Amino acid sequence: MLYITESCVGCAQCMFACRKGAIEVEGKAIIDNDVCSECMRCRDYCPLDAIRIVSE
Amino acid sequence: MKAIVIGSGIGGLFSAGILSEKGYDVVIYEKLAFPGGRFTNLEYRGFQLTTGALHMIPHGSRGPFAGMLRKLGADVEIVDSAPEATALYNGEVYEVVSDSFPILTVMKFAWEVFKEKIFRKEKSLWDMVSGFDPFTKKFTRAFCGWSLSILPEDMPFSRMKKIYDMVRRYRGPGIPIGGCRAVIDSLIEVLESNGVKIFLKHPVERIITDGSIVRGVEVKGERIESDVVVSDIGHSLTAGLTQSEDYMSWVENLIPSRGIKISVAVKEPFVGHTGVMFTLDTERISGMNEVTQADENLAPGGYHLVMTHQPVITSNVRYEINLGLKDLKKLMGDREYEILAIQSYSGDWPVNRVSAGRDVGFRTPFENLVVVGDGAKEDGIEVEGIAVGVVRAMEEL
Repeated sequence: MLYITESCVGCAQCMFACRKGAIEVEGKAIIDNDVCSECMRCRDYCPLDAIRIVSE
Repeated sequence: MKAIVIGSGIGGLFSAGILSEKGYDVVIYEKLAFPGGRFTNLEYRGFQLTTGALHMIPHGSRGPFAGMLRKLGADVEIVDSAPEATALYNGEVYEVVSDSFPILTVMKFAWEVFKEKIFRKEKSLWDMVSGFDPFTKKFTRAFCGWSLSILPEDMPFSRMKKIYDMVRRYRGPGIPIGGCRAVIDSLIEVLESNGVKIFLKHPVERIITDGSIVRGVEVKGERIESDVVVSDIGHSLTAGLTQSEDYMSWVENLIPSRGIKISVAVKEPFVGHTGVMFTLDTERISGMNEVTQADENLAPGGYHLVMTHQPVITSNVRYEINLGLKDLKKLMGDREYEILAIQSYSGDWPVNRVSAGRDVGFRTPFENLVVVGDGAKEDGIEVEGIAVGVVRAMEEL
């Protein structure tokens, strides 16, 4: 699953990059891991390296 | 001669343009999957939103930014705003022209400028306007918030005077047809025809230094030599890449400016013109524009795109957003509107890497390493200051 680190400032680029609509942003990004397919496209758009992947 | 540019924001692309014209062999390394940094479009449900900027060039086709585009041969159509600005004050809309300000205020302003020139006593912009009429005070606050993302209390008057002079000289804003992305695409076309190479998803991991000079960079574990390195990622991150203690301690107190942008879809025009509408009756929102007035393709058919901007004042971004949303609700009244996105800017992805009026210049402790972009602007609003800064930095190399 993906999680957002403290360095997220809420620029919303991940939300625009996500093709599943799994990310919402208001102040910070929130990922819905039930919808996320872990394509990692969001990470290519995050300027702050704030998106990390962890294995369950 | 080889030049490496770190980052493909406006500052990086402008620098690459100048260096390639000077005959340098230029390579740009961009960390992200797209070029343009905080000055490009993000498509969302048919709306052309942006990574940062508000699809506006502060001095339109007349300023240093447009001059740089022409000089590099980048073909971008810029629609100059008319009116340049309106102000929503006590529920009424006024066009902002020099006649909008009471004659007494204009005279007091002239007197303050004169005193500043003679006595050279540093004052904040807010101290300077404190004795002025309420409209001028509120307008000053809105102008600082919209254009510079700062409070007038934090803006030294002497620096503001330079911006004021630029506005008098180059006039108000303009909107590039196609939005920010049209500027980026056009610049990249020029750069590629000059032989510049751009590598996306290639973060620079280290700047290799040797005494007071830079030897090159490390990308994906590989050492790449270069005669010159231009960094478009601000002083703080650049200092980190050099691992120079001196450089890091020199830049550790730089304060970025923070802001919040709300992109809104409306069916009926709200601003109604191509300029800025400063909002003086609000708690946080400083102003807004409606770029679809200049280019209807920035929104899907039947919609206008309104973008509001506000500075961040407290440390609680959620609180600041809520105040912005409350302002928006009040402004829109019973009109229909839909919020498309709320984007916040701070830290290492701020409005400006160094707050307006506090810029520290392009130089670094290393002779052949310069910083460009919003972390090393010269006086000037946003990207206009970037264009001026790039010219100065490139003259030095």
